[in-house]
Amino acid sequence: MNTGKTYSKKVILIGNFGVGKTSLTKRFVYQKFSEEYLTTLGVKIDKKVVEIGEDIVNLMIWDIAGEVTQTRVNTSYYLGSNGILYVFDVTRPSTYEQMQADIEYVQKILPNVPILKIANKADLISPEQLKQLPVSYDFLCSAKTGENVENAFLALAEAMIGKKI
Amino acid sequence: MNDAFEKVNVFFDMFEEILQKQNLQVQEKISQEIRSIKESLPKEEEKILHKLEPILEEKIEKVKNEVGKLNNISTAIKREIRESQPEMIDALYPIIGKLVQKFIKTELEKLNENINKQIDNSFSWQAFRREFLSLFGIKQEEILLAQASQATIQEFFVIWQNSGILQAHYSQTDVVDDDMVAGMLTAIKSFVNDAFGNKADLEMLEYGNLKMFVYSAVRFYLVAVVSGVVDKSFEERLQSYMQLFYEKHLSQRSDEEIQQTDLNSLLKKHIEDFPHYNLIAQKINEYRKNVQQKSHFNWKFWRW
Repeated sequence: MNTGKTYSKKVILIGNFGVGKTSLTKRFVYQKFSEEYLTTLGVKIDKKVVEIGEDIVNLMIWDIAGEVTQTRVNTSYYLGSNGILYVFDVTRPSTYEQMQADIEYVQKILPNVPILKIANKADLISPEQLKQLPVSYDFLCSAKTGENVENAFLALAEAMIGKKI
Repeated sequence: MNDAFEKVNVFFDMFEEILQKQNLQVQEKISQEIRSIKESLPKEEEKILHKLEPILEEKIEKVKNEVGKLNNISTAIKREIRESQPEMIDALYPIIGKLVQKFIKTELEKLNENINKQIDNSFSWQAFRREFLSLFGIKQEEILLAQASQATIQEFFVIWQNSGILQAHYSQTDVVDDDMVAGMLTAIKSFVNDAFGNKADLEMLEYGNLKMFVYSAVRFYLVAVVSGVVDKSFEERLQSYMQLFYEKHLSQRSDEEIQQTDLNSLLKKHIEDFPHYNLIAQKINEYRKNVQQKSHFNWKFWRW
């Protein structure tokens, strides 16, 4: 019998368009990947239940349409979020040049909410190129190969229920 | 000098006479020409008709052939429809079915509203007589109609306003993923708010035969999904009931208290009680409470 607690948490995926937010969600929720690019309109919601130790976390994942800067995203989509994944594309500098400013902006709206920086499309970059990446990140992922995707979501779930990342 | 003038005059007279003669000849020629044209016209018409006839006949033949082909097509379509009825029904049913359903629903709503209006307005002997007669099984169709088209609450959601996380849910069918519905409803609500500013809030959504009524409060919003014929009086009762539920079970409690309360069973009990909820009785109670509060205050005031 499960003696842990059950939580419901809202997770948002934000970042530039075409960085792979929808692909990461699809990989995490359905274990699928598609080469086809279909831009997200507005927001798409998915759900996945994960177990963290004895606790059960019901993740409501809000995959928000990409924008060049986060100031252009509808602020009401952010409200009530318990965790954030900021996704960027390691092959396109324009997707991480704004990262610091974007994160500061989101933290003003959502103070004290855990935020993880996800460097996506790891399959398209060599270890040498990776060393030259001018920004830091928490998880290097690939929605295509599935590398680290589950780990990133689980780490966020742990952080949201007050456990260490 | 005079002689010379006279000669010139004679010469001019002669010249004028010649011109007049010539004019007359020209006129004569023109009128002859016109006459001959007039005479030859019917003959020309005949000639033209004679030439056109074969061309026209050919054209008529062509048109007949085309019409014949069209007739063949229409018979082919008729045959096709006759032979593949299930496929045609499959293709047309979603469109026609929905239209018919929608039409019937709208008409029933109108009818229901008219009946209610009549009942409200005619507090007379006729109304009492009708009520009396209905006890003996007369005018049963009215009662049956009202029962058959009765609006019922299919689903009820209590959702956190900002996060869209579901707090409580009541369902008659339990086939939908309630968490996803709560999330999507919140996304739609957020979109409406962002698109139109604070001036607009989502109050009602209509999808096919279902109507979703939204009651928005500060921390939560409540959504009732209703099927059947929804008239104004039902809508008012529902809105008032949702407000009452919010005030009784949500507004006074902290977030932690709410999370520990078994809202699902409370919700079930309240929704099962809803058909007996009387808006007028509720209003009278509120009025009484207000009056009592006021008199209590006045008494204290006078003591001072």
